[in-house]
Parts: sequence; C-alpha cells; structure tokens
Amino acid sequence: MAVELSEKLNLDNHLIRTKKVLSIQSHVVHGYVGNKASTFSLQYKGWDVDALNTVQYSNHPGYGQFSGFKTDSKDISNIFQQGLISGLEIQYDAIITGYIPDIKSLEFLGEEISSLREICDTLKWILDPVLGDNGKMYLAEGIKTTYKNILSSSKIYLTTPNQFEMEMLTSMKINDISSLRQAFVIFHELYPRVENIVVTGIEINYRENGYITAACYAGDEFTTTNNTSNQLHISGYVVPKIPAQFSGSGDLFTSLIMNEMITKSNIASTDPNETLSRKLDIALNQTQAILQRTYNHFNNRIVDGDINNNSTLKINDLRLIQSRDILSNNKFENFKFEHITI
Amino acid sequence: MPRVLATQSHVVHGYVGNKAATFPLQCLGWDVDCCNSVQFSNHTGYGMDKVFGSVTSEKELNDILSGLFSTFQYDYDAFLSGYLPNKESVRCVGLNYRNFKKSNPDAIWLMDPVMGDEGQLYVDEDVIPEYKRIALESDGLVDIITPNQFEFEILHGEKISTVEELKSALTKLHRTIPMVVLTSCMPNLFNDSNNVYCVASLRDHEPLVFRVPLIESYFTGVGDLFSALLLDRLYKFNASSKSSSSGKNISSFKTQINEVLNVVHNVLLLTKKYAPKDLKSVIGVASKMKDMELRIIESRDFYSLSFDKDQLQNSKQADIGLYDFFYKSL
Repeated sequence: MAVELSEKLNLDNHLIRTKKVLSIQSHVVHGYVGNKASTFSLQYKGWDVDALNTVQYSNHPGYGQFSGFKTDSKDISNIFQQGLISGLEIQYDAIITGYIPDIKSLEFLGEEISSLREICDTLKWILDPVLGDNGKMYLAEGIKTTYKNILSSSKIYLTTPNQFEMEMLTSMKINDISSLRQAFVIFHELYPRVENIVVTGIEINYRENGYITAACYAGDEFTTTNNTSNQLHISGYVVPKIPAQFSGSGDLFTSLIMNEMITKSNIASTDPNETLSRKLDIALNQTQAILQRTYNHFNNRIVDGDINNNSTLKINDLRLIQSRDILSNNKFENFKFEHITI
Repeated sequence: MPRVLATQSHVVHGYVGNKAATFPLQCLGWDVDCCNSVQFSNHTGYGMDKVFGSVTSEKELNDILSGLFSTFQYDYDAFLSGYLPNKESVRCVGLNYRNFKKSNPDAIWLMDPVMGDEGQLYVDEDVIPEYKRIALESDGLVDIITPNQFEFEILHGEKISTVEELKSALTKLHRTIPMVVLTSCMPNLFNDSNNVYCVASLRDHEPLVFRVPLIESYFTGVGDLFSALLLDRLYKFNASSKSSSSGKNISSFKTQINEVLNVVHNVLLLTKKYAPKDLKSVIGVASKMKDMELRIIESRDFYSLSFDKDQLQNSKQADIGLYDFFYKSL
C-alpha cells in the first residue's frame, strides 16, 4: 500500500514545483461565483491559490437578498503590497483580477501589478474587466474608465470580457460577425499591450441557439505595422445554449482558460493562434460540461408546471464540487463545437 | 451531497483556518460555505508585524450569518467553528449556530475551541467564559469538540496531570458533548515525548488513546486540517450509526479516528518532503517561512483514504503509508 501511494504521488521522483496564482475577486460564503468558483477549480487542477477577497457576502445578489461588506481599500493594498509582495516575496506565476467594486482598490492594483509585470517577465496577468452583463452595468462608471486606463498601458497576458464589457471597452455595439471583428480591431488599437483576448457569451443572429466565444492572439506588442488589422486572426466557437442563466460561469471559464493557457501541454502548435484556439476548445468543453451537469440537476428537480415557460431559468449555484471528475479530466472534449473564423 | 457552514479565519497566503479546512472537505464531496472571521495576508506565526488585513467585526459577522440563516435556514448538514478572534465573534457564532441547529436538528456542530497551546493563550482572556458557556451550559448544542490539552484544561477548569484525572474530566465534558477528541496531550501524561497522544472519547464508552510518531516540525494549521477531516469522518459515522440497529459502534469510531490521524500524518510527511532541510534556520524569516506551509493542494489524493485493517502497517511509520495508531483504551 505504501508503494502504491508513493507511485500515485510520484514521490520517489523529484517533487514538482506547484504553480502559484494570486486571485483577487469576490468571496461569497454560499455559492460559487468569484473566488469561490475560481479557487476550487484551480486548486483541483493543482494550483496553489492565494485568494484575496474584495468583498465578503453571504451569497451573490442573484438570490434577491444578501448581506456582507466590501474589503477596505487600505486592507487590499496592505495585504497585497506589504504582505504578499514585499513581505513574503512571493513569486506568482499568474495574477487574476476579477470583481473589484472599489475604484481606489482597482487603481492601486492596476498600478502595482503593472509595475510588477514590467520587472517580472514570467508573471502573467489575467484581467477579467468585470463591469456588467446582459446590457446592464452593475459597477460605477469610474470603474470602466479605470479599466480603460489599465488596459491601455499595462502588459496583460489575457483578458476575458463578456459581450457587454467588450462593447463598453471599445464603444462598439456587437450585433453581427463584422461588428464583432471590428470590435476586436478597435480593442487591439486601443489596448496594444494585451496579448490574448477571449470574448465570451456573444449573442448575435449568426447562430440563434448558440453563444459565440471568440479569441485572438495579438502578440506582445500589437502595432499596425507588425500585425495590421486585416491580418488579425480571430477564431471562435459556437457553444450551444443551455436554457438557463448561470451565476459564476464566467468566473469558472476564466480560471479554466487561464489554466489551459499557462499549463504546458502537447496540444501546443507553432502557430500561437492555433494554440489559443485549441486551448479555448478544451476550456469551453469543460465549462459546458459543468453547466450541463448543473442544469440537469436543477431541471430534474423542477416539477411539471412549476415553472413559467416564458422566463429564463435562473440557476444560482454551479454544481462545482459535484464536477470534480470533469475538472480532473484534462482531455475532456465531448462536445464538438462548430469552429468559425471571424 | 452534504453541506457545511464553516466559520474561522481566512489567510490569503498559506493554509490555516478555512484555507486548511475547505479544500480537503471539498475533495471529499462537501459543499463548504466558508464564513471568514478575519482576512489576513498570512498566519500570525510569521510575526505580528508581518500580518496585514482585518478582523471581521461582530456586526459584519452577524450580518452574514443571520443573512445566511434567512436564505438557507434548512440547508446545512454540519457546522464547523474554529479560530474566532474575540469574545464578540465567539458569542456571535454561538448565537447564530444555535438558531441553525434548531432548524437542522440532525446537523452536527464540530467546535474547535481555539484559545492557545502549551500554556499560552493566543486569544483574549475574555473569550474563555464564552467558550465555556457554549461547551458546558448548552446541552445538545455542540456535538464534537476538539481541544488540545491546554484548551481542555481551560474548559475543565483544572490542570490534568494523570490519566485518572483525564478520564473524570472527559466524563464531565460528556454531560454536554457526545464526542470529545483531545488532539494532543502533554508529554508527561504518558511519559513519552517521542510520540503525540490523541484521546478520542465517545459518550458512554471507554476513551481510546492513539499514538502517532512526533514529526519534528513548525507547521501551522495541522489542527484545522484535523478538525475538518474529523468532521467528515464523524458525520459519516453518525449517519451510519443512525441507520444501524446496534447504535454507535466503538470499533467503527476507532477506525474513523485512525483514518483521520493517518491522513494528517501523511500530509505532514509530504509537507516535510517539500520543506527546506534545515527548518530551524528559517523560523522568523517571513520570506522563507512560506516554504513551510502545509501542502494541502499536493495532498489531494490523501483525503479520501480509507482502508481495511489488514492493509495497515506497523513498521517504518516515518514513510508515507497507512498505519494502526491505536494504542490502548483508558
């Protein structure tokens, strides 16, 4: 038995260094959004996750009522700067920033991570510019301006806006494939130092029963001379719609795509666009599998006639813990999503 | 799938409190609702001048717990409480958990009365009467308690220097709490400083003594990991006792405790493999101490270990493996 355990954990070989990520997002006691969605998914995939919570709420607002508080911006800056970075001198492989409702905190973190990024070439910054969804802003206008400033000057490895956030950041309404492409072009011109961009949950007439997730690799420094806008390679997948709205699916997806992109794998190609596209496919497959399982669970519990068919089913909690088998299967590719070029 | 509400500390970096408890429980299939009594950059062992962040105020804590009560009143199978920084937070958790227990009479509460260790208090002294009130005066509120000997003596009100005194103190505590697990005893109690002695006691049964080889270390969060794993095993033990006609079975209780001790022992051995070779030299150096955090993530496959008696080994307990740590009944 001792032998089996040792083999299972590969203990007799060298101990592999554990990847470290700092995840700065919301915390809810009950449910799976923000850090509660990201932390477990990444930990289960082997990441050492330092979770800095920007708020502590009983649950997310989708329940109709919630209680709790925002973390003081002084605490966020002290924990980050004096604690983690200069006190403990932690070398992170990645930093994720998500829901940050306080402008002062966002400005501080924007500056600090930017300068950290300039001196540490291996650090990867994953920025989810959380502003709102489904046509509605749920954060102050100043947050949008701050994100624009951060995006226009900082070296960011990956950003994952949803359709609404992409529209906000580019001032371009997306309603078909060509406006989607146009939004990408504007994005790269405005924010030339963003290396990879993945836009999720795009709803256009192209496919009524599916959401498009589109991705583009722009390289270290996008300029019109080395990568003119008509050469931008944007690829996308059509992900079939599950008839429900899920809270936390975006946070889960951001963690999964980040894990795919930072983890070395044999699916990498010499073409960075192709690599991004393949990794996107895997992250979308895993996300979809978890959403489908969550949906099946809730759908089975709904008694006939219990639900008004005209309203979208709102699912508050992902079945994340019950999806451990999906998270640990690195080759999960059950769904064959239609691949499109944009 | 079971759901637990866990109220204890949160550290951004490292593994103590909820950070040590949450992931192992999640790997075991629990939905863990973690309510953070503090948010600190790291644990206090790094030196108080190296700790940044805030204590959750009584009002904030009460807002969250009572908010959970109004939305998820009937959703919990278990409650866990650990490090609470002051009198107000202990009282607040006590009051809210009492309400939850009324709505969920079958749910169990594991309370780790974190107050100090080896003669030293690390919370304010006025926390003591609050813990005593919860542990001694409210029959049926706490189901499992996991003090170390120092905390056990505080609750008992007297020092314990012999096995007989220990037995009678356990009997006294059992008046209000059905399961008592004394996580570590002072070396003089069993005249042995090479092993750690853990005493697990089920009401109306002889207390069981377990002997685990001492791992020379300065690791923090071991007790928090222990409590979390114990909650999982004893929740299952309780559930199977309910469905069995013979009631609580002491040999199954023994197996569960032995499993928990094995998991913790193996996590510590793995942590030690990763840690710097000369541990003493890094104490107090914050940038080095981070290498001594428990390897909670790397130990993922340990948590669900379960095994038959015949798989247990008796020798070479310094290696990763499964052992019979049971020593004797008291």
